[in-house]
Amino acid sequence: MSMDPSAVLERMRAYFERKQPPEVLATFGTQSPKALLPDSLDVVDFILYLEEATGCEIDVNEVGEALMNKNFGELAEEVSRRLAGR
Amino acid sequence: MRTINAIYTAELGEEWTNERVLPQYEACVDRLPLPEADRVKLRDFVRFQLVGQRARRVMVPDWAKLGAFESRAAAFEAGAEQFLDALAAQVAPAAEEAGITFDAVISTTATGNLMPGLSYRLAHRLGGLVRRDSMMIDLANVGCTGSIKAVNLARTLDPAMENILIAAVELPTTLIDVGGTTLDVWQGNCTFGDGAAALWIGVEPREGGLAIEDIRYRQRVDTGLDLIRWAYRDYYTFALADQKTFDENVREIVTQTLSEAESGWKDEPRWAIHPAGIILLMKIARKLGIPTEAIQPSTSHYRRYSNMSSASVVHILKDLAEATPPGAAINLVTMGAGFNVLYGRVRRVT
Repeated sequence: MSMDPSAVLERMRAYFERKQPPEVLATFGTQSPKALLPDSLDVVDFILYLEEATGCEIDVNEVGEALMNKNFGELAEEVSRRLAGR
Repeated sequence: MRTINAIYTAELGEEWTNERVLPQYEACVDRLPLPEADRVKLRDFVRFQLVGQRARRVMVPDWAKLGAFESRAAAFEAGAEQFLDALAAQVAPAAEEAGITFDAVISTTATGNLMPGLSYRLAHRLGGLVRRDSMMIDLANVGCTGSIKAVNLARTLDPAMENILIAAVELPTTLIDVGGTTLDVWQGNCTFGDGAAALWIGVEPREGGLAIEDIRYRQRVDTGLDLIRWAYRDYYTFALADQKTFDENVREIVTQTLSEAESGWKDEPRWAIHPAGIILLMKIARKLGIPTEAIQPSTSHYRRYSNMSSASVVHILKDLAEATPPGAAINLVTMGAGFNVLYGRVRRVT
């Protein structure tokens, strides 16, 4: 399964549609997952959503580094790369 | 039918939140003799393991200084003695008031070894409440499923043994290994907290008691020996199979076990689930059609105490039982080294 980074990012953004203010959504790609997912269960819920949205299982330990250190734009690229590699 | 007449829990030790643990762990990772790329990977892994609000109780006063076998074994014994004091202080007045003595004492721990075992040490504190002819059993090396295995064992004992006391005492923080360099050692460091609990199992239902309706046991030694196990450095260390193998196997075994349980389990809104791997739990719940709210008691427990190995599910069961009306059931699910999964169902009798 493959999905380009912009499509992954759009699906990620959809998760936050009614959870974050418009100004955050407008700059979503540069936002930090750490800031928008402050709780471990928020992270879990987001990953489960992402698995459903991309139709692919995500190893949290593989994307954990990106979740901690990168923005959503970079995370979308990482997920897109991993999807393409399967 | 056996009933759980009472549940006792012990909450001792110092509370360590993720916020407090993380800088200490990061400093330890910085000191490890690792190539820089591996250090960055390990540091990010630890940060991810400790994301969000979560705490654990720690009985060891200075866990960062735990060294070789002697200090760790001694820390386990000291902590276990304190937990047994706390449990005995609750069990003794309840048993005296009920006018019973215990026909058997069963203990369980996966996180240390003592001789004499925990059952003898608890009996010593309970004096005449444990008779000279009472049976004493110490279950060891049973992993996180130990407490429900003990309940299952009590359930199968001769009904002439009317009152059975079970104690689960776990001190996984005595295994914290800040000199380890593998991801699974650090996953263990980040996952666990200390805790203890006891159950009084009887044959006569008492007010607030829980009838033990069903316990199903599934072991998978064919594929599961390496999923969770001890490795060794100066002491035992926590070791896991790779995440993908672990997730796939655990999901399959849990799903199979539940499919063999008595019908109707899916309809029960109350679940006491061992809080191992919240992501995995949520995935399994979704796959089986179990509502997300059903795992809320386990996630709440995990946030407050992290994973207390075999003591966790008893803590969760106690909280649920207090809010369960007469006639309603609670599902139990616990899983751990072996690999094995236990499913059970208890029902509030009065």
